[in-house]
Amino acid sequence: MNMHLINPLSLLFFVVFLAITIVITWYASRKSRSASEYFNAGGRVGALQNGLAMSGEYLSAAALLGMTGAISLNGFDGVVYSIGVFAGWPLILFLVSEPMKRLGKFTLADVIAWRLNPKPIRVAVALASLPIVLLYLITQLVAAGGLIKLMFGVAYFPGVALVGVIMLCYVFFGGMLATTWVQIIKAVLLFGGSALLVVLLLAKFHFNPAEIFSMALSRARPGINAPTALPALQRWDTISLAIALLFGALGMPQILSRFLTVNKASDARKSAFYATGLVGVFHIFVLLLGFGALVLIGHGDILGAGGAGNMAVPLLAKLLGGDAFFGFICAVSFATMLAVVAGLTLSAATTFAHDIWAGVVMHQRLATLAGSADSGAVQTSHSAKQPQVARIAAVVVAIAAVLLALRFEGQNVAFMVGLSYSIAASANFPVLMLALFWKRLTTAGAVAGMLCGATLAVLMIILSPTIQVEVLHKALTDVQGQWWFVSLRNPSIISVPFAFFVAWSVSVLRPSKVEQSGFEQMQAVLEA
Amino acid sequence: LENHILINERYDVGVAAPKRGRLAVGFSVVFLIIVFGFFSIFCFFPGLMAIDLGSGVTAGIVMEQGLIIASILFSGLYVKCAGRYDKNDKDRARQNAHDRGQA
Repeated sequence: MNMHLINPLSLLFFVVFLAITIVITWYASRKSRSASEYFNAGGRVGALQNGLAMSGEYLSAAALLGMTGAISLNGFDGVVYSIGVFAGWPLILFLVSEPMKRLGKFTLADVIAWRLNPKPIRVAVALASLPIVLLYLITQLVAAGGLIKLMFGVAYFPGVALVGVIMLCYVFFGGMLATTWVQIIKAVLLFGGSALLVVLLLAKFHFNPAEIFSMALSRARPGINAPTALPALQRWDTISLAIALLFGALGMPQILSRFLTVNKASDARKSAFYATGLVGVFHIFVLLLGFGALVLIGHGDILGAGGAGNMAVPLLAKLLGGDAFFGFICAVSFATMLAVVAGLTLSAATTFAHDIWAGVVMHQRLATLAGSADSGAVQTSHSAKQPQVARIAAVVVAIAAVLLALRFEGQNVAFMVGLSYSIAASANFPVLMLALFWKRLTTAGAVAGMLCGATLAVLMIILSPTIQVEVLHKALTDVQGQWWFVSLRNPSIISVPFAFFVAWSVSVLRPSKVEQSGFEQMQAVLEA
Repeated sequence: LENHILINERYDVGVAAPKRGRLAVGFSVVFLIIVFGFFSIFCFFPGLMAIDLGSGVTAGIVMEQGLIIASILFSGLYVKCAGRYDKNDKDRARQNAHDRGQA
């Protein structure tokens, strides 16, 4: 099926989305002058708005197109991603939503460093967080280029460049306020579009979902609606993937920093609940849409449309709602990519400006000026300069990400998402948990845990079939016998406990009474 | 009642903080058992998920959808419990502050 066409309705919907978001960005640029307004929208975002923005940030085009496509091609086996991605949300609500708001200022490092020595912690968090965000950003841009080509017929280079320029405009001029509203609009469009598609789908089956599964059995292979029995190694690999998806969500800086945009801790809690509900309902839709596409479009046509199943939802929209709805879903997919990459760019820029520039470089300068008459004025001036530094960082991040996305054109970059989640689960998650719940964590323990967890995760992926076979195209039989070869594709089942162990053992071997006493003060702030 | 200094003076952080932490950890542990239960069945006992409940709907489909719905309800319960906990705590602190002010 030839899908390479510029659908005028897609363009119309997309231009309307762009026009609205540009007006918002212009409005936000007038409101984002101070560091707080630029980085966390001045803490004025409501709970429901933040819940929508977080779900918008979290649900990328991979959720709408990729997971649905995976279910339409692989049946029930595709739900591993769906459940893994969703299940992180209740944990975010229980464990980190309130502490992030109560202890954080602009970034995740604020929370981990609260009672520890801030400089090494900020460097370590930035070393872990920047690759998490950049890897995710490159993957999104590569996917965006491919999908724009597939849906709108626009060539890869102009497609990626266009996404890069628009995302930079949101971040450069509008900061967190504009990015938040772009996410909210995108989330409403995404939920509205998928809900309408589900209603149209169910109407086709007399509003009886069981009919969809029953017909899927007759149209596809037997057992499509149940998991396939896996060999021993793959079982553990799936558990490892679940660990990465589940705990990686708790270490994603672009998600956690959203809790800083609300006014109080109870709003952070409520916004996490709204996001849990929205992401959960969306994943209920994903299962229905995946099986619906399998029944109505068919395995062969979905594969034939290209994009490894990504076209299942747009094709279903075309079938059930005609060209207008197809155009709308294509525009929503594009809007989804734009919103996600804008959030990632802002997160990377904030990490650099707040954690590295203000927290390390300028902190050092202020320390040398301590006690002098100028120190107060210099501090105020540095604080005011943070948004400028973030804007420069955003330009650098955007250019680097676009160039790398161009370099990876047509290559399999799916491993980068896995790597991103694995680093988040292995570096940020263990130390964040220990910082919040274990009194004896020390700076040395936290830094060692983060760096060892991230290094092991990266190393294991490099030595796994994901890179050795799928990226470097070596024969599995050649590498399988090597002593360094790692059979697991997902390292988290080893790297997450390892990071916990390193952080624990270093903290126990080199205890710090001062940092332990900071735990009591932190508890007081958490209860304030 | 809005005398925050009195409230802070009467507020026992040492008692309250672990209680809040226990609530979060308790909910997380129960939730993790449910989620890893799902993944364990998926990986090690796929036959259980393949049980046909009629009309092509398998136990796995019901478990997947049930897990999502139960998680949302469970999250709602946490928000309610945490909200009630906050309210009780605040009321107690205000009452203590009020008593102390009268004394």
